[in-house]
Amino acid sequence: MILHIAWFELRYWLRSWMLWIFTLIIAVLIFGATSSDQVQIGSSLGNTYRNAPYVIENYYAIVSLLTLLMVTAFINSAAARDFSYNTYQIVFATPMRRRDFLLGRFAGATTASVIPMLGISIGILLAKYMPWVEPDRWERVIWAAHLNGILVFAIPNTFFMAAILFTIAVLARNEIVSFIGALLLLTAYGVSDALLSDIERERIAALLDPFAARTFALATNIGRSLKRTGSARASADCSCGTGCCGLALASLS
Amino acid sequence: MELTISGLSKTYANGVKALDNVSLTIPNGMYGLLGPNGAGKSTLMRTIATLQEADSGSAQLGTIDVLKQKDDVRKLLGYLPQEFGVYPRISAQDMLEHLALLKGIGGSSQRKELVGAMLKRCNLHDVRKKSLSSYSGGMRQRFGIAQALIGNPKLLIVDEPTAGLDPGERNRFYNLLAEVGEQVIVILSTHIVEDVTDLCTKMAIIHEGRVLYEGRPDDAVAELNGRVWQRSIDKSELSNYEGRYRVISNRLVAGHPHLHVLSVTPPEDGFSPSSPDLEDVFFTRIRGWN
Repeated sequence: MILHIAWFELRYWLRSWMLWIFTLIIAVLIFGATSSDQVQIGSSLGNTYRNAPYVIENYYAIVSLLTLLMVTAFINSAAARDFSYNTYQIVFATPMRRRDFLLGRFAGATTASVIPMLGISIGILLAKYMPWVEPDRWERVIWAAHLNGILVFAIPNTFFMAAILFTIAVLARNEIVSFIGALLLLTAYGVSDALLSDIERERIAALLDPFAARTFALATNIGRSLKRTGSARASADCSCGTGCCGLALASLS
Repeated sequence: MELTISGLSKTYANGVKALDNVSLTIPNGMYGLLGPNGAGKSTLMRTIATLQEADSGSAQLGTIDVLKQKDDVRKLLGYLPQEFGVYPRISAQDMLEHLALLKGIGGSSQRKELVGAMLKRCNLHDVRKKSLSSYSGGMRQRFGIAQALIGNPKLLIVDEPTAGLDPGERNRFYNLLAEVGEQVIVILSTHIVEDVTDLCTKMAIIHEGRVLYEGRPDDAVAELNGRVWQRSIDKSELSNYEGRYRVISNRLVAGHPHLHVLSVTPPEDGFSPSSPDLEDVFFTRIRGWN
């Protein structure tokens, strides 16, 4: 039941131009940032390879900030669709289980929300083959870095955002409240950013960042990258944990 | 199976008494619930469809307590709400298959088969791949009945289904409902008298939350035999007549008011006897004259 509902939800989004426009925008942004110096997202690329694993994963972490509002729109629509399109009387008069229905909707909309993030990989992969780029700034395609970006940042970050936003949307049934929730997540990022400037508080800052972008920065800023990469993963796991709590709360309510 | 409603009441937060001690006994077959807009019909329909709570009273469907065993009711229920929307970018086929799943019909091939048959039955098979949001009013209403009929409901509730349909579509809709037959309970809520005349063997008239009549339409009409009179008058005389008689209805016929009045004894010259119909019953009942 849950799988069917999730698949129905995912197909709903796959037919939506909004999803593909977002994917395109992100792909174009990242394409611009990696293939030219005129576009900069986050910190400058410095003297690393333009498609170094660090660059790829950093983009996956930072772009969560951009996709936050998009995820809010998707998740809000999934949670409130039957009220906004006045189908609730038909849907809620069926003997379906509310838990299955909500979890299915959530799973489908969350999966759909990850798709625009793949624009990062599309942008970087395309940029490598542009005639104007300097070949010696590009290394071979490291697929593991793309996979790592998706597994460590795209999926946990989206899941974390979606779980909180879905809970808010189901409980509040109000679009404005959902967007305030999204703004609170942004605020948490801002707070962690500010805390990071204080070296004594960098660990708490890293844990507090809902998108793990600062965590990643901390983990990679000086040597010891192997150990630090481990801490980036820990933060992603922590995000997942919080997301699960939010979701559990939603299904209970 | 029989649906028994007793003493159902509902008052909204704004003080509107939508249901006032409503008691009805609804057997298998087509049951008409007739009332003007705002009479409380939709509140009653939504309450039976488990979408709304009542303040007091009870409802029993066979052995099921409708107000408490909501899931059991939903397994037997087909519901066409008065107003409903559709998701954008979804075809009738996809939406029906999705709703069949939510209704608990297992196996995707079984759902496909069932939905295919239902689309043919509701004459939507040719447009099954089109987006529901592009459907005309009549098509959308046929989709509405299709989704309500999926899963062979034992209790079918249709709320104001023919409002806004052209005569052709209305007939098509009537035929669909009539096909469901006498085997299940069909509650047809409407403000259109013809709906009840054409389809229903039993009916109730409801007004301001109260049941004013419950019984067979024929019996209700027979009660008015010999008491309804008609005549055409000039427009300027209308208020004069309304002051002197119990005017059941006045309808313009070729630009002149054509009156139906209620009177036990023959009124003045110019009136001729009229054979009563359900519309006369409806108006005399909601005005409290009968």
